[in-house]
Amino acid sequence: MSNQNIYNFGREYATLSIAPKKKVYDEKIIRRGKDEFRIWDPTKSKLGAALQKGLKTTPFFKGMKILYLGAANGTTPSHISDIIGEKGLLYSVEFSPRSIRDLISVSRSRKNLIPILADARMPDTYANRIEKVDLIYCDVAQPDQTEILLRNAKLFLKKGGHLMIAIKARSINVVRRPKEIYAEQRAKLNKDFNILEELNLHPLEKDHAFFVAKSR
Amino acid sequence: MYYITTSTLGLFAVDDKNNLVASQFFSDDAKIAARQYNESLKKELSNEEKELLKKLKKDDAIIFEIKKERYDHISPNPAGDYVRSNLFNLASKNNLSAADFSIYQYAINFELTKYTMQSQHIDDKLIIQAVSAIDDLDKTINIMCMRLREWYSLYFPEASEKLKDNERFAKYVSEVLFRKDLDNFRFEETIGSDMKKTDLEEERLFAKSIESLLIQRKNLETYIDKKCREVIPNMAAIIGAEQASRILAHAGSTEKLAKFPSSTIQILGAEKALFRYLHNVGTSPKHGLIFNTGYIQRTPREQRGKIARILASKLSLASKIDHYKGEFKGDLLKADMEKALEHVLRAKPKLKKDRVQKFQTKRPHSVEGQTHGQRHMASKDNRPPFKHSVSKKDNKPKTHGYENYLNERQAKPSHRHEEKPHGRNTEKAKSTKDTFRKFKKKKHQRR
Repeated sequence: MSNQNIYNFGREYATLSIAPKKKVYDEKIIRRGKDEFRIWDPTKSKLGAALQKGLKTTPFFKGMKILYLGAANGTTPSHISDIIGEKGLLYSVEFSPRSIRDLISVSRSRKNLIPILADARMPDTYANRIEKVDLIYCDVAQPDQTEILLRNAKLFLKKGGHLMIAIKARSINVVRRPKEIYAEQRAKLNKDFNILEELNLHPLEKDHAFFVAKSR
Repeated sequence: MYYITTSTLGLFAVDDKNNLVASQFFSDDAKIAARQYNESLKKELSNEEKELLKKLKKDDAIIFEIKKERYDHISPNPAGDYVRSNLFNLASKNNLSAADFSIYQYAINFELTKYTMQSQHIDDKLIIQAVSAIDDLDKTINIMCMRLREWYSLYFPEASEKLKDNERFAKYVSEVLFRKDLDNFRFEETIGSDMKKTDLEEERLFAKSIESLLIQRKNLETYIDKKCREVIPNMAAIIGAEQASRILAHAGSTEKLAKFPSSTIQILGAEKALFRYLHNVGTSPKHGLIFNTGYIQRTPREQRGKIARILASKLSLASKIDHYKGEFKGDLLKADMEKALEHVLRAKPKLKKDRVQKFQTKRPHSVEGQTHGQRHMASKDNRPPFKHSVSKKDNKPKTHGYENYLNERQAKPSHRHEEKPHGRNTEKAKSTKDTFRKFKKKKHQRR
């Protein structure tokens, strides 16, 4: 993995903060001169866990536009916000008002993070507020999470854009084998997208898989 | 043909060849723009839409994205697609630089999110917070009372023994404070040491703060009663305000509660037992939070599953009436519950050999060629069937499809009749046995 916007400190990954001296979730800070690097905790962030497990495809660049479904309290969105820089835009959709409260306080110091209180299942409710994006990141713990991602991709993903999804097997079905569930989701994505990478997030997350795909 | 869409920048009209025909930008001020955006999402034409329509040829068809008076609409709309692909270019047409565009997008989306947040109904959340406050108060009062007992017992330990009730004890320390004759005990015979008045005064202050917490708890009870009468009257009528609000707190909102099937309401709170059962260990839970409502505690163990099921079905009806603000039927539902309880209590007690013991591996379904259901029917007494005054089935005639389904089901043998290893003897259970060892009850805990 060689993304110039994601840094390494030994075995840990970090991002260069665009809001120095403002902590988001009690992360470790490393200072080098004027720069402040925020250590990416893999136990708190699924994208951080994927990086630890050796994620190679990281199609991030400064100034890109991203749609984040399931932003929660802003742990992972804050790192993505660092990566894309002040010129990028991170449209963060979250449907719990309690989480949006925390997300808004994160966004006050990160103006590229745009909090949207809406249900990702119904993209029409926020389609007029956002624009087409280069990447859609999906981390909603719902049984139809892949369908939600595909519905959003149809409306909002640019041609040649990327998808990233953290699939939680236990949200889809409590008793079935995770491997069967991942195979089903892979088939659903394969219809219109090329799967670039697939990872299992064990032991950082139990029964989770991480897919990176690109539109054909 | 013109397609019209709205966006954070403004309103845009696009023709069927995907060319931008007209635009009506919103204000530069984010708050005003947010209001204009929200107006464009309503059924009536907003002022900005009227302005935009003036710029278009009146003969051609006009298609919006959402239902507007007198106009057609389709979703997704080609104009929406065009705008989403070119939002930045459209912004630069309005003389917005890249940096300004980001600032504008942030500001207007922030206003819109703020509007969505503030238009949410929070009445059920107030109940949930109040009942959680009661739980917190109970824990705190308990901890403080234990501390007060230890502290006061240095001076007069017999008071702590005689006054077992926390409220009475706290009242004694705050009002009486000094040693006094209690029941048959004479205070001169105490084994506690003497204490200065100043030290005792500290204990009195502590006891006073416990009393104020007790008053606060009673306050919250009356508040919850009042709130439940507005928000969840039907559920409160069946099981009382406090229990109803605990179930509401577990569900999260009246909407979620209304959408639950009655089987979920039956086992709300017993998730540990439920998922253990789903992973092939043990039997399914019969009740969760609803156990504390009193109906289940009053019935003998063999009948508890039945009464839990009936109670859950009444509660699910009540929660739907509450959320969708239907006609109050709480009194009828409560009467039904009382009748059902009576009916169940009058039932013939089951024979010992019919009872399914917990963690038993054999299911009594293939004894002498009879199914479990058939043996159950044979042991049933000849009571008239119980009639619910409020029930899910509205005496509707069964449709064709349902009869076909029933016939098909009878044709195929039920999987229950096969002799499959169950419970502890399945392969999966054997492999998970070690994982769930902690769930195994000790001999003295088993009934």
